[in-house]
Amino acid sequence: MDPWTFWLGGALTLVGGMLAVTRKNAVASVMWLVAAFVGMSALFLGMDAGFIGVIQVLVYAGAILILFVFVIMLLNLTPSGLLRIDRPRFVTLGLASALAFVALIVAVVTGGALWTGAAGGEGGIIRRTGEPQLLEGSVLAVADQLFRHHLLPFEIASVLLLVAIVGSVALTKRKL
Amino acid sequence: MDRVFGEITTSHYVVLSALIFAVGLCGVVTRRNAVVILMSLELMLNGANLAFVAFSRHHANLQGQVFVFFVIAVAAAEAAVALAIIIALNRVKGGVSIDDATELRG
Amino acid sequence: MRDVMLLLPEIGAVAAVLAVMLADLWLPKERKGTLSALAIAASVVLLALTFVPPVAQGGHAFGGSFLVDGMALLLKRAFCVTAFLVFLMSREYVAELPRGQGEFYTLGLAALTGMFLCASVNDFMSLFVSLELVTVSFFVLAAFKRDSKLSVEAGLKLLVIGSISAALLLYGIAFVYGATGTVMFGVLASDGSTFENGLRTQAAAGTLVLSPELQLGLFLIFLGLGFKTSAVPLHVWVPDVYQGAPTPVTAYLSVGSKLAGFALMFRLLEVVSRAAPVAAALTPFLALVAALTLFYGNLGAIPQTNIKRLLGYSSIGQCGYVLLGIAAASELGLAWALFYLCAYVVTNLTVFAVIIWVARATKSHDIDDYSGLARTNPLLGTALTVGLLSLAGVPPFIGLVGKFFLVGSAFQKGDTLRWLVYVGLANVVIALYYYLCVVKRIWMRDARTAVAPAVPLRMKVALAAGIVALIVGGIAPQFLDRVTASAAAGAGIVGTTAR
Repeated sequence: MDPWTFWLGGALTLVGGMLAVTRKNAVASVMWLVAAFVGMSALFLGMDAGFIGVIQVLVYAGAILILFVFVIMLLNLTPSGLLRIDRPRFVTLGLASALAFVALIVAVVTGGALWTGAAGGEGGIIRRTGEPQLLEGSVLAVADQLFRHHLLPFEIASVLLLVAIVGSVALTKRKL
Repeated sequence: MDRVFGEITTSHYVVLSALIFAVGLCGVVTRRNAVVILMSLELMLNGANLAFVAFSRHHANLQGQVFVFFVIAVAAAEAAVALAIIIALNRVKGGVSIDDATELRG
Repeated sequence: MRDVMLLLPEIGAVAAVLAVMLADLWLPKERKGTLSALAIAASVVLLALTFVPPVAQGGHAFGGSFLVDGMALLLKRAFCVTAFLVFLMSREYVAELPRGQGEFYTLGLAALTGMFLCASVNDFMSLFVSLELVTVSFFVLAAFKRDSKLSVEAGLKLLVIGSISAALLLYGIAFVYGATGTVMFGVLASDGSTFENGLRTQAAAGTLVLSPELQLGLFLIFLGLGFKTSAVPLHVWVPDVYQGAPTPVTAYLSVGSKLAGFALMFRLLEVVSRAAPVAAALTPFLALVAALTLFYGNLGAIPQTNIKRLLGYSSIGQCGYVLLGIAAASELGLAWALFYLCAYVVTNLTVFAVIIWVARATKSHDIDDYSGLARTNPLLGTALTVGLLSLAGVPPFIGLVGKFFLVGSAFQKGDTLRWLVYVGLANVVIALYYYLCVVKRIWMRDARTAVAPAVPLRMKVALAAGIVALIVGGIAPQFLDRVTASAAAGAGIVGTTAR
């Protein structure tokens, strides 16, 4: 696994994410979040998860976050309103819970020996026999797994999207 | 040091995913702007997605990647409804701060 | 083809969602009342569908993603009864909404679809997506009166806490997947070696212990599911949302959504109980959560002056009792947890039906407004009294039986859970106090308002049936007990084909 992809992509994601949650201007936040998601996509591609890497950019950065931008523009917040919003609250609690979470995960990951081996290699608890298979998350492979083994959640997701459409209309359409 | 800066293992990705998740968690707790809180929630989901893909590669099966596909679908649905609720909040209160939502307490 | 037949109730529910949506488009404005009839009829038909032979026989579908067993069937029937009663009591309330009657029933039925699926899911992907189907439907329903500040605020609070819990749940699932390499429950449960991949042999004692990764994953998953069942620490939304949401939605949320969360907890517990150390590692955590939930709910309820808030805290407390049975992690505990939840469906919905009708007359949810209710409207007063006493666990009502045996199942576990038994008993006394305060108002005080709410015949019949059910269930619990015990015993995961 290419270390550069990990370090650069990881740095972009982390810095983008930190800036996204701290910027005063919500539009700037969205733009930094787009940067973070592009970094995330690079990480996915670095792990040969091509399909997920592409939909990360197409759907997440391209559609969901643009929806956020639309809503921010639609709300058209006044500067005084923004000022009121942008005082942070519970800073200590927020930092403490974040640190506690990271400490917990790091303790678990370094304490256990499950995933210390190189990804896809040996050293993990689950050892594969024979030649290490090449795992490539191409569209074909992901589609095969999705439609052969996980059709039920796919169908449920369609109902979920229908609910989201009906719900958004019910909550926002002016004349219903 | 060698363990950290040497070969990239699944643990590296898991720790990175925890950091991303924690940044999102921090944002949810500390921000007042409801839209930014939603963005932080998206960041938390992405932290989990990274862990899924790393494990998917670790176990050499695609279940983790398919899971991420569903998470993205769910995130889209959730974001649509969440933004609708924020627009409704803006209509009745004239603002999108969490402070505008303090009538229910006790 | 048999696969598809197993999903008849789910397919029927989706068909009902679409039927209501289309009917809403065609019906003229003055005939929207038909939609309510359609939704009520749909819940009855769905209940009938769970008795159709291929469904009632049970089995697997979708390569092991979908499972119908005794527990799933019982829970689905309970969901149908819940939806039926909620739609029945919300007819007038919804008809008076300024807009969106069709959407209300569409989303209500979509939530029912999600609950059905929650009872039957057998892998983590379906679990996550069905749980979100229920949650997202309730986000919209809670904020449904979009002109009301309280309702929108309730929706926002549900949304924020719900999304945090979903993210925690997801991270937990990622860790379980990382430790075991599969998301299929069937593989986790039937193939012992898969779980052992996540277990590490302790060299000294030679016994299997849980790897920290798997432990963390399960811990996060139960934390995330605690949002649905209103368990500490993700219970913070409960009183606010119960107060702010439209009352029929509160009723639906307090029963349906909670039951869906418990359905998933039961299923997961059953999967992990195949590997004994896993269950043992969870028991102290669940016991602690149960104790905290009991105390938070029952102590928080005491100073409340709003009846919906009071019931919010009460519902946290009730969740604590079910967690008591789950922490016991035995078949007996599961059977009585199911018993308690079935009784809770009828009890809580009886109480909420009264609240909806009193609020129609008084336009408020102050507990003071219930003074002298027994005089102005004896039926409503009696129904509320019986419901509250059953929630409190007073003989001869059904709530007592459930509480008694749930505490008993914790007692059976021996010394490790003995402290939890005392916590459970102490909370029965605390709960008795605040429920009796309301009951005292209903019977002892003079009526504050002269308004006697007019109850339609349909609701009179439903309320009378509720009162009878609570008393008969309390005197002769063996009927329901036989059903829930066989459901708990019949819960099983057979092998599966998916990789």
